[in-house]
Amino acid sequence: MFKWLHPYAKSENLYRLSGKFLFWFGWLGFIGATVGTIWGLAFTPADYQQGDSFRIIYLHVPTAMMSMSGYLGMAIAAFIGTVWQQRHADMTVIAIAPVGAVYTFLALFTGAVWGKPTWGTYWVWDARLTSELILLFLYLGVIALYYAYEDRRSGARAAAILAMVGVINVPIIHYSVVWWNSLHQGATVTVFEKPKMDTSMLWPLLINIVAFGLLLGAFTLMRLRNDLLMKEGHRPWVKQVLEGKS
Amino acid sequence: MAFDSFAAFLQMGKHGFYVWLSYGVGLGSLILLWWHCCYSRRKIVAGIKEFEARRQRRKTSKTTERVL
Amino acid sequence: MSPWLETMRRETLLVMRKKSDVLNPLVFYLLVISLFPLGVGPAPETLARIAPGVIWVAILLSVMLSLERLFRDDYRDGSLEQMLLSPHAGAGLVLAKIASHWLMICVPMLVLSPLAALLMGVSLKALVAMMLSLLVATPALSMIGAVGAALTVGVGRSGVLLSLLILPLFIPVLIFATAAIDAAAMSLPYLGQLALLAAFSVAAITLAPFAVIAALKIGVQ
Repeated sequence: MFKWLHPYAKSENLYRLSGKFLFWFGWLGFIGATVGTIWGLAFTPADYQQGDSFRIIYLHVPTAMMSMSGYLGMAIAAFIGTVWQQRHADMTVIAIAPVGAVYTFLALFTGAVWGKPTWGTYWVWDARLTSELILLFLYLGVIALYYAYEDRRSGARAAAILAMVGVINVPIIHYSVVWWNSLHQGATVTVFEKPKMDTSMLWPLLINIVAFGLLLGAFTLMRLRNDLLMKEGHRPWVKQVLEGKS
Repeated sequence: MAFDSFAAFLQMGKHGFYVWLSYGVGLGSLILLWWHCCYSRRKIVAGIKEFEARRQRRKTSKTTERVL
Repeated sequence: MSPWLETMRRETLLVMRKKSDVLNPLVFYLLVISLFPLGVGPAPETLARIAPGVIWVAILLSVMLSLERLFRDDYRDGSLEQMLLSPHAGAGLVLAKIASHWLMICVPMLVLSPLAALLMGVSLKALVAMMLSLLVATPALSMIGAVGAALTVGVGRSGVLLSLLILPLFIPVLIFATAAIDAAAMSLPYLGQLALLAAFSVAAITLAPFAVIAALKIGVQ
């Protein structure tokens, strides 16, 4: 497998490959998110208990799921960077972190806004909310550590180690709803069980989850390409790329 | 369509404020993220181009010096 | 003498020569605890209810404050580099260093904690649970904290950064510890939470030294 991956250790190849992926991720994510959101907002029936406020689910659940998946992806990249000494994996860690932080913030914000009409309060200190807040702090810690180093490469290495250490929180967040009796409802969508939602409500949610995942990938690739350009700014291939484009 | 009129769509059955607030903030932050990516890319590209131009200038000026 | 014991002896000696390193976190710990009765009012039932949590938070904070010096002085005078270059370098030496940090910083706090708990009127059941949870979980705090200290050793003034890195990682420990104490206060079994805390500690003792070494290598290069 690593024989196949090896050419992409070269910045130029990685840049071109990520450009191809960026196109598909970006457009599919954009179209998917638009379709899913409009479908969810306008064309699904209202929830019999929560009325129309449940429509926040189409933003809340995708961002929350992807904030955790993003952290997991970041930790995997960090692991690859540490074990196989791949510089680009460390750069990926830094590329994901701010995007994941924005997703986590959105999950928290939409959750709070949804909580007001449903629970009557913006915030409760229960396990799920608290651990999502911890996730935000973990992302911020990774970003802060990266920028604290003057040398970008050392910063990326240090951030990767922190990302790996922090991954212990992801299972805690994921199972917090199961382990603790909290105000937060259980998982709506699971892979193995029959969903507890009507299909007319479920489809736009699934579309949005996939679309937000794609968008996460697209933002990450954009940031990764920026970092590659910045790092290798004076190599001939960068000149070629920039001239070929403009 | 789950709503009778556009006004009802905006109202969201009394929960309009919460729904539109969260979607507004969501859209806003994603656009901000996208804008920031594009902005930093523009800045990086401009920096590289300026560096190249300066290198070019210095090269040409050296040759003119030699000619003179 | 084995390098392991030698490192422990050296750490102890260093602390004995500069006692403020140990005493300052301790004083800070007592100070934080004594601030709470002033802040929330001296009503005994309120204090008794919040005391275990307050003691836990105070310990988290003072452990965090004490961590900054864990690698700082060794980094400045170059002995950290020697340590990493030495033939005995590896998880063992780092473990010895962190173990002596635990002995020097956490154990005195553990000894003082029953006193603090009695001052705040904690019931005996909750006190036992609190002490057990502290005993089981403080090694995890030292270990996780050492990773944060190692990551920030190459950075200039790192105080605030260190807290941003470490405190989120401390929170799971705090959650399970307070869950154990709450269960004990309600006369429920709390062995499960203690077992989870012990698992945290064991996992941290096994894995953290490697993360610390990787982080120190970034710092000294």
